[in-house]
Amino acid sequence: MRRWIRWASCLYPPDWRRRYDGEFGALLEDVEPRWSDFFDVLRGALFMQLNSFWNYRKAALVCGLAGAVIACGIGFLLNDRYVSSATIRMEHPEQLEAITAKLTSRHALVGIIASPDLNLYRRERQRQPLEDVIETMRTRDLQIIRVAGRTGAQALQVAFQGSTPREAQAVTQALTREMLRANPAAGLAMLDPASLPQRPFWPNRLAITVLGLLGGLAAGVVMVAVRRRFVSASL
Amino acid sequence: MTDPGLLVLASLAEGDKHGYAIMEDVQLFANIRLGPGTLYGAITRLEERKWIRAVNAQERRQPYTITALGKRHLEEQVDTLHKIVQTAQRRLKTA
Repeated sequence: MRRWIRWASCLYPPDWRRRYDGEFGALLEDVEPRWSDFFDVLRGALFMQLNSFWNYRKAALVCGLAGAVIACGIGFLLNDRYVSSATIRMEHPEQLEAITAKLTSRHALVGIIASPDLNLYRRERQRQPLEDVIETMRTRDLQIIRVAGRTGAQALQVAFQGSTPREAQAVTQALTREMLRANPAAGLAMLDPASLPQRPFWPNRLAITVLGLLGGLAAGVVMVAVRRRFVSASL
Repeated sequence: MTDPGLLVLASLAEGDKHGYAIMEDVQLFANIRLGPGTLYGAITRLEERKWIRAVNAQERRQPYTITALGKRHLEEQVDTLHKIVQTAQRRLKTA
């Protein structure tokens, strides 16, 4: 039994053993050994190991690395999003609002969403009312902004974000076609056709990983501070 | 009332003692047997907070003494316990 207890005492952290091992060994020689002492020493070793782990630097490092790994994993679970954009010259900039209203109308968007070639938002349409899907397209995925054309002429940019580069490009093409068709008298002309995105604009996995690292570092420091306060209060 | 740190401080309030002597004393006055791991966990924390300190070692046995800070902490804890006991006794009488 004494040998078992002595073995358990070897599980204490090296720093603790350097300071207390001699006198702790003397105590173990003095006591009448019991099984409960073995478990008591085992529990003490575990507590000391945890206690020695919980210094600011170690905890911040370990939690920071854990945060970075988790955030990186989450980053890879997120779906890629691609943005395609097209630029259209506008002879009558004052008509921008009317042009935008026509393109983002329920009728125009439903026509594009339900188009057999595109068949957009398949999963969303199975789970959500069509009005919600239209709102998602209007507010999240579609953007129409005024820009300066290459020759300084007034222009507008139509951009759409999709789950694949081809989808984003095809929808942007459909949107610009619809815009030109619906506004024959507005003096619109294609300057730059819908681009084929090369890289996803979302998620930025490096930024997510760095955020996870920083969050983990902060969480580690806070945990040590809280733990120290708690241990102090318990004495 | 069974906090090992408090029991060690109470034991050292009587005079300097090494680990085994503290164990024996606590067993005697509180009828609580502190295991070696529990005892040295308490000694480590009390020493970190400067409530006890090591004094001249006798071979491998290391005696400890209570510091002024430790005495003050013990007094505060005893006062609190005293108030709790008094309140509990009064309420038991009127229950």
